Amino acid sequence: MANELGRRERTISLLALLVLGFSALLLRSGYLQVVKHGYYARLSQQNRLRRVLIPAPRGLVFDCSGVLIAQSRPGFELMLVTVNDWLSSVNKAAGLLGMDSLLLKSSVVSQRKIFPNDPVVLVKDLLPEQVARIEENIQDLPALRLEVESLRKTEHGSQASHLVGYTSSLGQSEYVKYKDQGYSYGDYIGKGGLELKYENYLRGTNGWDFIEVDARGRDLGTVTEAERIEPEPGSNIYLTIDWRLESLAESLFTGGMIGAAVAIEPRTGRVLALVSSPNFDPNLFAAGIRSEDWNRLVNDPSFPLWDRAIRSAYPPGSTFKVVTAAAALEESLITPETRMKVSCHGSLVIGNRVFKCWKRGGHGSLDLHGAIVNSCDVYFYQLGMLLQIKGLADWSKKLGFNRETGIDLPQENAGLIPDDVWYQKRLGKYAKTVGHSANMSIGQGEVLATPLQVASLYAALANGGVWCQPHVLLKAEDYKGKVLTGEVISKKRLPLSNGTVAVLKQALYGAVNDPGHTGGAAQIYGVKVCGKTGTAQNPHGNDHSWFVGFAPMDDPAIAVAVLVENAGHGSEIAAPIAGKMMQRYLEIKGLLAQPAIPAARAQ
Amino acid sequence: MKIKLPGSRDFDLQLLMAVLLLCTIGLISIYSATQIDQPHLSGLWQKQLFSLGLGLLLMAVTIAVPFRYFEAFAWPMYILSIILLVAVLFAPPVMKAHRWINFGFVRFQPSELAKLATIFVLAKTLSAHDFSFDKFWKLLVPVGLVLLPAALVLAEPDLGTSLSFAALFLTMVFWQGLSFGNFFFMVSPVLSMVAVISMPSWIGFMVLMAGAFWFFKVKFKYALPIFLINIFIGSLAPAVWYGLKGYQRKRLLTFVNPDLDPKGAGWHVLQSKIAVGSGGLLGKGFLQGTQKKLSFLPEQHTDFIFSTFAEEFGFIGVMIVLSLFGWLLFRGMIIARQARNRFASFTAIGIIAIIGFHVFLNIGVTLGIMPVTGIPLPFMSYGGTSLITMLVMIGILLNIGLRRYEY
Repeated sequence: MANELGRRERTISLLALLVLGFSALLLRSGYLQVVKHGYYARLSQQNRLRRVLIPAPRGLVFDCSGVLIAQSRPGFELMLVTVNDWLSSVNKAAGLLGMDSLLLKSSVVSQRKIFPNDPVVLVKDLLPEQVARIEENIQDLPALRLEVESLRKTEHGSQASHLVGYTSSLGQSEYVKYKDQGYSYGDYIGKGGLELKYENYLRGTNGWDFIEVDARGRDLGTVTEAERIEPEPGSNIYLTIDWRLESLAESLFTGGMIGAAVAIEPRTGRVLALVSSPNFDPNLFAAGIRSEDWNRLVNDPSFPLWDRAIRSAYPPGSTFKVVTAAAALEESLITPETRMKVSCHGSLVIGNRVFKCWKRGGHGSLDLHGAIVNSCDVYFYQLGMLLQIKGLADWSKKLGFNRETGIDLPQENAGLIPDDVWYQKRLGKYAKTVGHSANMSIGQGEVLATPLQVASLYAALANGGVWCQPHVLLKAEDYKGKVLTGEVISKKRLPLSNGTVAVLKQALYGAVNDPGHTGGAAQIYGVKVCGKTGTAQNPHGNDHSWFVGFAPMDDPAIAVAVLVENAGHGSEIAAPIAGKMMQRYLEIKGLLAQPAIPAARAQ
Repeated sequence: MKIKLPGSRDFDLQLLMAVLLLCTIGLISIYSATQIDQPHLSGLWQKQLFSLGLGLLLMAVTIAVPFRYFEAFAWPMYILSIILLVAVLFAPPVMKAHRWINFGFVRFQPSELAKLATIFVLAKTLSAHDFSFDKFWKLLVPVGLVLLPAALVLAEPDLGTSLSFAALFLTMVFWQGLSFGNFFFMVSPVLSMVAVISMPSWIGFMVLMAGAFWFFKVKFKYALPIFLINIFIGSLAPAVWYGLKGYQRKRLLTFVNPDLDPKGAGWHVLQSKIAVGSGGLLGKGFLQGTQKKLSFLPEQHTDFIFSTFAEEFGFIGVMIVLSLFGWLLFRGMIIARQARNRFASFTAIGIIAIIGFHVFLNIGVTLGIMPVTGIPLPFMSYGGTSLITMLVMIGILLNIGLRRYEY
C-alpha cells in the first residue's frame, strides 16, 4: 500500500480524537457523579424538583367589528403540592370549604395513580370568600397552595352559546387521547362550536417553570439550570357574526320559544347570526360543570345543548316550494304561465287519499307566481306528480340538500332527501310513490333540512343563483396581531337559469307584498323584502313555523331563515322575527329608508 | 482460498467480548428501566433478547461471507435503501416523525440500512485506484453519495441520524488521505457558522484560516473562493437567524430536530442529569433507581438508557461502559489500519465512525453536553433495528479482521 505511513498517522489522529471525546464524557460524568453528587442526590431525594405548568391564556373571540364575545378570566384553584403528609391539610381544607373530605381524598388518590409526584388539583374556580378563607388559614395547610389559572368566560352569558361552544378540562381518559398533541393533564380544550372547530388557533402553548421545593413541598425558588419557558397565548379569532344582529335575534326568541335563526350575507356566505333557542350558559363548563348543572341540561326536555340551527333537521314545509318550482321550470315541465289541470278547491284526490290545501276554501286556478304567493298546496301536489320522486330528489340535491353545507362548525346535519332507492328500501321495490312525490313537493313527508341549509339556498337565490358556502371565520390572528388565516369565500353557481331565478325572486317578493300574501309580517317600510313562509306538519306535535327571506330584493344584504318549533303558522310567529332581524341589519348597514321627518320636529 | 473460522489467530475475540458485554449490560438496563408499573413496557426486555439472538445469528452469517461480496452488493443495497428512505416519508408518522416502515409483523427503520449501504458505496468509491484528491472537485461524487441519504433522513425528520452520515463521511474522507489543511478548509464553512456566535470568535477564526492558507501554501485561486464562502456564510447565518422571530426560531429548531422538546426544554436533560448525578460513585444498585419511576422521559429505555444505567451503577459502571466502548473502537481502528484490502479498510473505518459518533452523541446528550437529538446508544438502547444493524456492522468488522491480510 502506497501510503502506509499516512495511514499510521491518520490512525493516530483518529485515536487522539477518540481519547479526547471519551475523556470529555468521562470528566463530565465524574463531575456529575462525584463532584456534584450531593446536589443531585438532594434533588433526586423525594423528588424535590417540580415542573410547574404556566397555563397559556386562550385566544379571544370577536365579532366582525371587534366586539368581544369570549375571553379568559382568572380563577383560583386549590392545589395539593406535596407527595406525602397531605391528609390533615386536605381534611382541614374540606372543612373550610364545606366540602366532602372523602370526595377530595379519592380524587387525590385517583390523580396520583397517573402522576405520582405531580401537584394535584383539589378544587377549581374557588369563590372569592373561599379564597379568603383558605388564605387566612394557609399556615395550617402546608400541603396546599392557591394557584391562579385562566378560565373561559363568554361576555354575553348564554347568548350564541351553540355557535361559541364551550371548553372543559381534560380528564384522565381524554388526557391519554390528546397528550401526543401537546396537552397537559387538566388543560382546557374546546368542546363544541367554534371552541372545538378552531381549537388549534385558540389554544396557546403552555409555559413551564422549574422550582425546587423543600420536604414539605414549599417553594425554595426556581432552579437555575432549567430555564423558565414563557407561555404563548392562543390566537384570536374574528367571526363574520355581527353581534348587534346576533343579540337582537337572541332576544326575539322569548317566552320559551324553541327554534333557530340563521342570517347569511348572500354575496359572501358570511354567517351574520346563528341562533339556537333555548341556549345554555357556557360559563357553567369553564371550571368543570357541576353534576347538578349537567343533569339539569341533559334532562331538560327542550335539549338546550342541541344546536338547532345546524344540527337539527326539520321538514322544510312550504319554504321547499321554491325547489319544486325551480325543478319544474328547469325541466321545462311548465312555464311561469302554466296552470295546473286541476284548480284548487281546497284538496286534491290522489289514488284513494285526499291531499288537503292549507286553505280550505281553495285558491282556484293559479299560475306559478300565484301559487307561490298564496302557497297553494294543490298546485304543488300536481307539480310534484309531474316531477316524480326522481325529479324532486335530483333537484333538491342539486340545490344543496341532503348534504352538509360545509360550514366551519362541528356536527352539522346533512338533512334528508328521500330518493327512489330510499323509498324502494323502505317500501319495497314496486311501491307506488306518487303520493310521496306530492307530499315532498310541499316539503313534507320524509324531507328534512336544517335551518342553515334553507337559509343557504335562499341566500343563493338572492345572489342571482350563486351559492356561497356559509362560514363564520373572518380571520385568525396570533396574539401579536399577525394574521394567520383569512376568510375563505367559496362560490358555486347553482344549475339555475337567470330566468328561473328572476321568476322565483318575483314570486318571493309577491309572497311578502302581493294581495293574498302569506308573509306580510316580514314587511319593512321602504324596503323590498322577499320571502316565504312555511308551516311544517310535525308528527310529534304542533306544526313548526318557518320563514325564509332576504332583502332588499335588488341588491340583497341579508338572507334569513327562522324556524320556531310547534308554533303553528309561519306567517304569525316566524315571519315577524325574520322581519325584525332584516330590519335591524339594514339599519346597521344604513340601508333603511328613513321615514320623512316633519320639519317642526327638528327644532 | 482457505476458509478461516473463528478461533483463528486473526479473529478479534476481544472486540467480540466487548460487544457481548455491552449487549448484556444493555439488556440488564432495559429490564431495570421498564419495571415501573407500566405493564406495556415490562416485557420489552424479552423482545430485546429476541432481537439480540437474531442479531448474533446475522452477525455469525456476516462473519462467514467473504467481504468482497459486500463490495458487489454495495450499489444494489444503496439504491434499495434510497428507495426505502423515500418510501418512509409516505409512511404514517409515529410521534410526528416518519422514521419507521411497518411491515405488519415488524417495524423497520430504513435509515439503519442506509448507514451501512452508504458506508459500502463510499468505501467502494474512495478505494477505487484512480481516486485521489488532486482535484478538489473530485470530492463531489462522495459528497453527493452522502448528501442524498442524509437529506432524506433529515426530512423524516431525524437530525441525529442525519448528522451521523456527516460523521461517517468526514472520517472516511480523512482516511482516504485528504490532508489536514484541505480537511480544515472543507469543514470551515460549518465552523464559520458556529464561530459567528460572537464577533471576536469569528474574527479569530478568519485569522486562523488566513494563517492556515499561509501554512499550507494554498494557491490564491483556491484560497479566495474558500475565504469568500466563509465570509458569505458567516455574515448570512446571523442575518437569517436574528431576522427570525423568537417563535420562528423555535419552530425552525423543532422542525429540524423534533426531539428538542419545545415544551420541556431543559427538563428532560435536567432529569437525566439528576439520575446520573444522584447515582454517585457506586450507584444506587440494580433496580434501585428512583428517577426512572417518574417516567420523566418516554425514552428512558431507548435514547436515555445510559442515564438509567448510570443511576444504578454509578461512576464505576460508567467507567466500565466507556472502557468497553473505547476498547471496541480501538480494536476496530486496528482492524481498519491493518486491512490490506482498501475497500475493507474504508468499510471498517466507516463502521467505527458510525459507532463512535452514536456513543459520543448519545452519552453526551444524557450528560447534558450535547443538544437533545434522538439517537440510540449502540448495543444498549432498546430497539431491534438498531441492535441488529449494529451487530451486523460488528460482524463485518470481525470479518475484515479475520481476513485482514487478504487483498
